[in-house]
Amino acid sequence: MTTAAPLVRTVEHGTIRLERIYKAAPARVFAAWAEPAARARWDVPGRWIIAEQTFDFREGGHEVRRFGPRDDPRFVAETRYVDIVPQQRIVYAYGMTSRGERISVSLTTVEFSPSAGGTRLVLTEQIAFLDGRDNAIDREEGLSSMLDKIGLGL
Amino acid sequence: MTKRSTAHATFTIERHFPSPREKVFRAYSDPKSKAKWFVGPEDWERSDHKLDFREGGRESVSGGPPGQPVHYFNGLYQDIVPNERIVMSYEMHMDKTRISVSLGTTEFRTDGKGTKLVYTEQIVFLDGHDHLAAREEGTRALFDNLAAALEREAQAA
Repeated sequence: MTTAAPLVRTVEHGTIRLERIYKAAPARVFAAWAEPAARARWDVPGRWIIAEQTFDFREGGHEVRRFGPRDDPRFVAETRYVDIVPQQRIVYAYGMTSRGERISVSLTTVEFSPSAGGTRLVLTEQIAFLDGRDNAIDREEGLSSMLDKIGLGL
Repeated sequence: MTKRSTAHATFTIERHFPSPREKVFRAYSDPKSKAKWFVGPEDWERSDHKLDFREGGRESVSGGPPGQPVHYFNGLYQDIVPNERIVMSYEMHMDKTRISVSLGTTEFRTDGKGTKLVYTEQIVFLDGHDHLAAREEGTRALFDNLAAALEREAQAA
């Protein structure tokens, strides 16, 4: 018989900043968030799949997305939009769980600005990683792959 | 087109309270207890404090010096572990203008007979409303209020 060790609660805070230049106007890059069909094409890391996704892109809007590897879409992200300035800025908070256990809470700022005929995008994610269940290296890899997919879609 | 800007920042405040952490946590979870300390300075005009303390629940309050812009706090509870941790996101407005969005983590740890509280705030200030020093000072003042409220409670017991 084994006894589970009591869970030690920990928090690791981190900030990730990613930048991309896209060869498309800010309105088209902004649409990658604002339009459901465009978002569904990139809003999951790497080769993972989106199993379910609701869409409510407005200040105060609440979205739920279940995703993960095809045979085990165990992650659920709950997003709440706080600040939306069309074609310029989106600020949202989201919590993520894996099989019902919360692994992180994030505050994400996405900024769009014109750059030599295209768009410069800066994504800043301020994160609290909970109980050692996720980390900045994996999160950065996931976010980076998503921003690359936006570029391919454009 | 208005020029938009952002400034990201993080600050951490650590405080020791002589009260056990169940009592300190209760000062956050119980609406009547929280309303006693989660308020601006004495001379501020203030609104009703609303607290729905559960994951997904909201908290709001507004107030400000007489005749000055109204500070409006609107928060959402993201993660609650009783007696251990609270994570919330919140936005601040000055009158109609949104000036910042934050992620605040409060950790409660047993420290001798009392409690060590560690508060970490990750912030994005919007459109030049960069008030990191003021935010940190205001937060420290709230913890002074909390210390006084806990002391009154201990004396009344």
